[in-house]
Formats: sequence, structure tokens, C-alpha cells
Amino acid sequence: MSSVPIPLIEAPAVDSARWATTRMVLGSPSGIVGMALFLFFCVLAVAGEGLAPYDPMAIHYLPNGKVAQVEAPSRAFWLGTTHYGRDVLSQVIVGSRVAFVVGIVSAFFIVFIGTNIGLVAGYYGRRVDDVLMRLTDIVFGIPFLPFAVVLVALLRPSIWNIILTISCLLWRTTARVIRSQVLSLRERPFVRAARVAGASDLRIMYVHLLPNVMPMSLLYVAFGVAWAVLAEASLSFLGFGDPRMVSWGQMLYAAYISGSIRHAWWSVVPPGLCITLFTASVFLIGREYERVVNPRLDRG
Amino acid sequence: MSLLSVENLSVEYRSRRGVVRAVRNTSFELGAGKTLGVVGESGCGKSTLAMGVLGLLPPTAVVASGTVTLGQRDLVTLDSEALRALRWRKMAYVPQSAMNSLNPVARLRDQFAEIWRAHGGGRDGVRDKAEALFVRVGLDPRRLQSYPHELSGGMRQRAIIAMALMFEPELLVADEPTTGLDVIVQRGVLNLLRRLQAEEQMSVIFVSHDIAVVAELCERVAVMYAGEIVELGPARAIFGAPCHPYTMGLEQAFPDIRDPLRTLVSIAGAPPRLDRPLEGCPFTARCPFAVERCRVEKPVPRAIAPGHLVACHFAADAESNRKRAREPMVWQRGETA
Amino acid sequence: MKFWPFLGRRLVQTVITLFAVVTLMWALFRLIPGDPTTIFLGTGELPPDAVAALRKSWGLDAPLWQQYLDYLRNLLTGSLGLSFYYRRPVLEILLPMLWNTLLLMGFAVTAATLVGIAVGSWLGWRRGDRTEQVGTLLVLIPRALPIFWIGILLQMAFAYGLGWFPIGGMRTPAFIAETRLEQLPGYDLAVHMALPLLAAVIYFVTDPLMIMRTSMLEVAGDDFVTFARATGLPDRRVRYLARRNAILPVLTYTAIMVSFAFGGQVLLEVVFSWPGMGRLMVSSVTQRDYPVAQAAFFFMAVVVIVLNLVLDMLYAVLDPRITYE
Repeated sequence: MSSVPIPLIEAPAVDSARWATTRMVLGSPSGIVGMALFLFFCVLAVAGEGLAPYDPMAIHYLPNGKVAQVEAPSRAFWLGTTHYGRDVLSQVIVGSRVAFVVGIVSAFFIVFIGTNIGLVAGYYGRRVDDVLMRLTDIVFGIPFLPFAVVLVALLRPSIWNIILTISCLLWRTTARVIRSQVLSLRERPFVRAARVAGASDLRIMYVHLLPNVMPMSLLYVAFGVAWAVLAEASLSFLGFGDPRMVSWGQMLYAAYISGSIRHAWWSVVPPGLCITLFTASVFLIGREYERVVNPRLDRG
Repeated sequence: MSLLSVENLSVEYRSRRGVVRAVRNTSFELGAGKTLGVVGESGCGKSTLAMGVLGLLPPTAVVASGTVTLGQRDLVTLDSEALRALRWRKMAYVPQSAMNSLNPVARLRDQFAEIWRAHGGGRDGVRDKAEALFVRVGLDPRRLQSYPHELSGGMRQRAIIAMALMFEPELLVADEPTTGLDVIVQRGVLNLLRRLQAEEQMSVIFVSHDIAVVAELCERVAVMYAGEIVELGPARAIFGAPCHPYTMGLEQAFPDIRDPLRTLVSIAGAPPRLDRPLEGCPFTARCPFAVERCRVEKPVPRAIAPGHLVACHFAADAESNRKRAREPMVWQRGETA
Repeated sequence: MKFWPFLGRRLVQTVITLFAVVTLMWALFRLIPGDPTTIFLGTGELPPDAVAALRKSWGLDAPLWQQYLDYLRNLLTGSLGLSFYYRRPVLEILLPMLWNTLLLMGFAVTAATLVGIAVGSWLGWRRGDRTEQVGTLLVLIPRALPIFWIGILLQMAFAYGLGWFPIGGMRTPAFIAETRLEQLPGYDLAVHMALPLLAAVIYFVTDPLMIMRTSMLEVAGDDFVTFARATGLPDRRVRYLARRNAILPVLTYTAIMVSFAFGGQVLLEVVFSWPGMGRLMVSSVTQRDYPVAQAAFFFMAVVVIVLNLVLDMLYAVLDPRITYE
């Protein structure tokens, strides 16, 4: 490490910006709605079985001994039962946990991989950039869901394999965006000063550049959660979900192949609605955040 | 009797992050056949003022208050159809870059024709008209067949000036029409403008950051700073004996051919931010003659001579201030502010 | 004219990308644990030496690198192998499905883009008034809806519920046109395509719409548009000029959209039992029929990559600044 002190031209401070950001996101009606919805699902996910009236996997029976198949919503089962006699409400509540885990963990990986690749490619440029961008182009050329189907079928269908699959592909957008940010930041005075002072490449990238691209990365965390949840739902719907877990996509899969969609709207609407609301909440938060981070988008 | 009367015009750019007051409470009059130059540094609001007068502001900007009276009508309150009817016929616009403004995929003669037809012109007549206009601006009429990118920069400016004259407008607003052209070409275009103005007796508003150009072309000049008009009067008075400290600074910053060895001045500091409300005189931070009063009390434009308005508390001391202004050191105040 | 070298460079890049994707896919498919013979072993249908003979005939016993070269060679000569499941050439099974998929997807992507451009340019031309803000918010909702859920809901409402449209499939077997309406050419197909198409458009319209809107807002302040307004051209004409310039980013996005569209396509084909490549791919993966799965996936990737190239070229033609670099 260099013994020369890094000059006072440090990267512009971002901390005060973060508080301002939180205030601004909450300052608009759509931001508040987004946050509220998101917190609602947080509560569901954390409370999980505790909140659910029944065990989501438990099969219920009617007094006459038959399975309570596809029962309409009633006092006993607020959202009715599935084709297999399970309580829809309980499943929906517990399903939020899968959504959260898949969403947040995948988003983290997506952004982690994407940001690093973007940083390295943008900073080093030339050969390194070329190679990394070719790689990104190739990954862009691969249609996501078909590839995910193949990968998940290749490995066993489990929640971690699903997360792995999602992370392997969806980092591509983040990489491109971060790279272009780094390209424009690279020539700024504070970077040049750091270079002149003898700071190592690693230090410049992670101590100086990273805090400045962080807002953009965080934005893509939000999008990443949304994409991941939709991806998991799609994979589960096709039958490649983790059979040991209850997820909203799986509920829809079960409803579809059992044919209960013909008349049992209660087995179809709640899980789909949850996916929609959860994804929408994350998009809303992301959108408000984006307005703050990228003022060029402020119109009107 | 003035052709154009602008009163207390304010223009704001609005976005989620706040409001930028680019033009604040500006007023001026322009007589028929007279020329007015608008000068100031980049970001002072002169282009916004011009666009505001013409009603050509981008979607993010609005006229917050004030009136723009052309003839008998207030342009600000006119509905879009009525305004459109006036466009090009009564008021024309010559932009800075003809290359960015002309349609790159249409021949010049077609662009003439389109404007002609948009204002109710018949099929015939436009060809002859366009050719005559080209000759008037010194271009070969055969050039009408060309695409904009096939012409040189100076030729394009002439072409766009020709277009502007199509309906012999009463008012012509030129926004930095010669900026970016080399000096010789610039000279040609300026001479052309001067000749045309005299021939047509058009009222012209000429926006530029180059006071030498404005001094030559315009009878009256408005000096803008931070969105406000700080001095307005006859060009000779403004450049010969400026009364506002900012104008004095501008004058000192330009080379004078009569005194080539004089040290040029640069006014230290930067203009104030326009997204916050401004109390007092906007030039306070950089003004060599500022006192506490300037910071709190906004000077109102007052006439110190017929037709010469100055927004400064110390306009009366202009003569002695001018002497002090010649010292370059006096302008370094802005650094510490 | 710098166009040809640009085209040349892009072509080379495309070939490399294709090659990489082919290799990647091949490697992946070879990694699938178990090959189709295990299906037969499991059920005890065939004795071990018959299985060995089968494996040999499918070339499964050769060393990996050999299999890879064979595969490449076959690919270049247009042979995609034999389906393990159907025992017929893959190409034979795949081609009709390919047309079905392209048909639905083509209509979907085109319709979504056109609607997106129209609504987006309308929204972008209005200066941030209430309708614009509300409209922008409303547009966010379809993005959050899972496409297959849209499909199921439409199916429930309009097919099962109201009976206006068929539940799925592409054609009615032994269709006899009775009324004048039904006798119109393509009626049967149109009726079957209606619901999946609607679902696809709802889902895909958001991105082109938002891009167009943002683009219009930016272009609206451009010198070019300002001057057109200044000359007093009618608002419709100015909007047209603005739109023509604003459309470019949407075109670039179309290439990315197609890539996502395949994902949506797979889901819609499953929901509506549309006999396309997407549905085939899912079933073949489940059945471990990997020549079919591989070929289906290969087609999709090729379409996406080639489309990217075509759109890059189109953009270069429309905006000459790109090539002069």
C-alpha cells in the first residue's frame, strides 16, 4: 500500500445524500404506497407460519370424510382451499417468504456480479473491457427463461438452484449500466488525483469509484428483486419449482394443472395478486429512487 | 409607439427537484424597426428570455408571470392556434445552429414550401419567392435543391435567414446567430443582417454573449445577469459609459483595439444559483462596490437618463465607479465571497 | 462510407457470439445427469446390452470432444439429430412448431411496439399534466403482472367464463365455418390467437411505451423541434417530426424485447396450449429429450442474436452518426 497520503480531493460525499434520498422517496404518494406494500409483505414473510391460520401443507377434510377440495372462501377458509384440500390463505402467507428470499438473495448476487464486472470493465478499459463486454453480449443473447428452464432441469429443482440460475444471467443489465457510469466518472479530477498520488487500482475502484456508482447499484437491487420474483414464479409455474417449498408460482402451477382454474378463482387470484403487488411495490420504490438518483428523468 | 412590450416577464424551469427561476421580472420595450441587443454571460437567461418572448420554451419551462405584448395582443395568454397564426408571419426566429434546426432529410426548397403551405400559401409562388430570398441573402438559388448538410456553416445561416424573411415579419429574434462561425463568415452574416434590417425595417432582438457584435448591430442593449436585466439603454451609452458595475466588468473584460496593451479583467466568482430565491442585488457577491444594503435590498431599475435604466443603488456614482473599475484587482473580490 | 467495415465487424461479432452460445449449450446439455437411456433402463424395457447398442448408435459412447465436433459438423450441414422421444429427426418436429411460435410472437411484439409507440408519444407530448402523471403510473402495473397470470385470468374470464374465445390451441379440429364472419380467411386462427396476443401485448407494451415517452420528452426540447414550432408548422406535423427522431431508442430496445419475448412466449404457449417451440422445449426438457430441447433453444438464441444484428444495422442506417466513429 502506498505511504503517500491520498490527497484531499476525495470522492464527493454521499452520506448526506442518502438521508435526503430516503426523505424524497417517502415524499411522493407512489413512494409511500410502494414502501407500505413492501413492509406489508415483510411482515407476512417474517411472521410466516405464525400468522397463518393453518399449516400450509396440511390437507383438510370435510365432515363427511372427503377431502375439502376446491372449497369456496368461507369462515373456516378465508380464501378457500386448493385442489388438494389445502388452505389458500396460509399458503399465500408462507409463500411470501420464498418470494423474499429468492428476491433479495438473487438481487444481491445480480448486483454484486454486475457491479464488479462493470467496475472492472469500465476502469481498466481496452482488452479487459472488450473481453468482459463480449461476455456480457453473449449473456444478453441468451433468452432468459428458456435457459433458466434448462439449467434448473439440469440441476435439481431447489430454491438455491433457482437463485443460482437467476443470478447467473440477470447481472448483464447492471454490468452495462455500471460500466457506462464508470466510464464517465473515470476522467473526473478526483480519480485522476488519486491516480497521481499513487493509489492502487483496487483502491481507486473500490474506495473512490464504488461509492459513486452505489446509488445506481442500489436501484438495480430494486429491479433485481422484481425480476427475480417474476422469474421464480415463472419457473415454478412451469413445474420447475422447489417441491419442498410453497411459493406463489407453485400455487398457480398446482391450480393450473389440476384444472381448478375452470371455476376456482380463489386459487388463482390471490397468489397472482401477491406476485403483482410485491413486484409493483419494488418497482415503485425503485422508480422513486431513480428520480432522485437520475434527475435527468425529472420531467414536468 | 412600441411594437413589442415585455412587462415583468418571469420564466421558470420546473422539475421534481425544484424550480429554477431563469428569468426574473424582466421588462423592456422595442419600437418598430428598432434593434435591441441582449447580452450577458452563459446561463444569465438571455436565451430563455428570447424563447419566452416567442413562446418557444421547452416542455420543462413555463412563463411564471408577466406579459409579452406584440401589437395589441398578449402572447402569453394566446391560445396555441392564435399563436401559431402569428408565427413566422409576424415574428420569426433565427437560431444559433442551422444544422441542428433544419430538417436534415428534406431539401431546402421543400422546407420553404412546407412553411409556405402551413401558412395558407398556394402551390405556386413559393419557388420564385424562395429563389428571390436566396439571392437577397447572397446565396445561389440553385442551392435550394441541396440538403442542409451539403452547405457550409455560413451558407446555412444565410439560408435560415432567408427562410425567416419569407413573410416579412415585424419582429425577428436572433439567438446567437453568428456564434460558432469563423470571424470572416461572421462578418458576412452580420453585414447581411444589418442590411436586411435596414431594408425591411424589422424590429430585431439580437441575443449574444459577444458585446462587440451587439455594439455594432444594435441601437439599444439590455444587459442581463442572473436572470435579471441590470442595465438597459442606448448602445453608445452602455458601452461608452456603463452605469451598472456588471456592465463595467463586461466592458473591461473585452479587448479594446484602441488600447491593446490594457490588461484584461476577469470577474472572479460565479453567478448565483437560480434555484433559490435571491434577496437583494444578484451581483452583490462579485461587485467591487457592494455594501451591506446591496445584499438585502433589491435595486429597482431606475432611469438615470431618458431611455437608460439601471438597477443599482449606486447608479449615481457611476462615473467614479468607472474609474475604479479599470483596476483589475478590484474585480477579484468574488474569490473570497 | 464507413458502413461496410461496421457491418463486417458486427458480422464477425455475431458469429463469435453464436459460436459461444452453441458451445455453451452443448456443454450444458451434456452435463445433464442421465441420458435418455436411463429412462428405458429404469422401466426395465431393454436389457443392458441393447442399451449399450442404443448408446453406441446415438454416439453417446464416444469421447466428449468427438461428440462436440460431430455436433458442430451436423449443425453446419443442417442436421439437428434425432429426437430421443419421438424417434424422428428433430428438424421435422421442430419446424412446424417454429412457424407457430414466430407467428404468435411476431404479432405480439409488433402489436406491443406499435401500441407502445402510439401511447408513449401521446403521453410524452403532453407537458406533465395530470393525465400524464396518472398515465405513467398506470403503465407501471402491467410490468408487475406475471404474464402467465394475465393469460390464466383472460382464459378464466373470456374462455371458460364467457365462452367468447377458445380455451387454447391454435386451430379448431375439423373446423366448419358457418356464419359470414366465420368464413373470413384466418378467422379460426385469429380467434385462437386473440387471448394469448392480448396477454402478450398487455405485458410487453410497458417498456416501448416508457422509452418512447422519455424519448419524446427529450426530443421535444431539441433545436430541431423548437425551430419547427417556431416556423408555425401545425402541431401534428411537429409531433410527427419529433416522433421520427424519438423512435430510434425504441427500435434498439426491440432487440432486447425479443429476448424477453421468448420467455413470455414459453409461458403463454403453456397456458394456451399453443403448439409452439416454447411448449416443446419445456416438455422436451422434462422428458430428457435433449436433442429437441437443445435445438429449440438454439433456434431461439439464433433468432435473438440475428435480430440484434439486423436492428443494429437498421439503427445505423437511420442514424448515420453511429457509423462515423
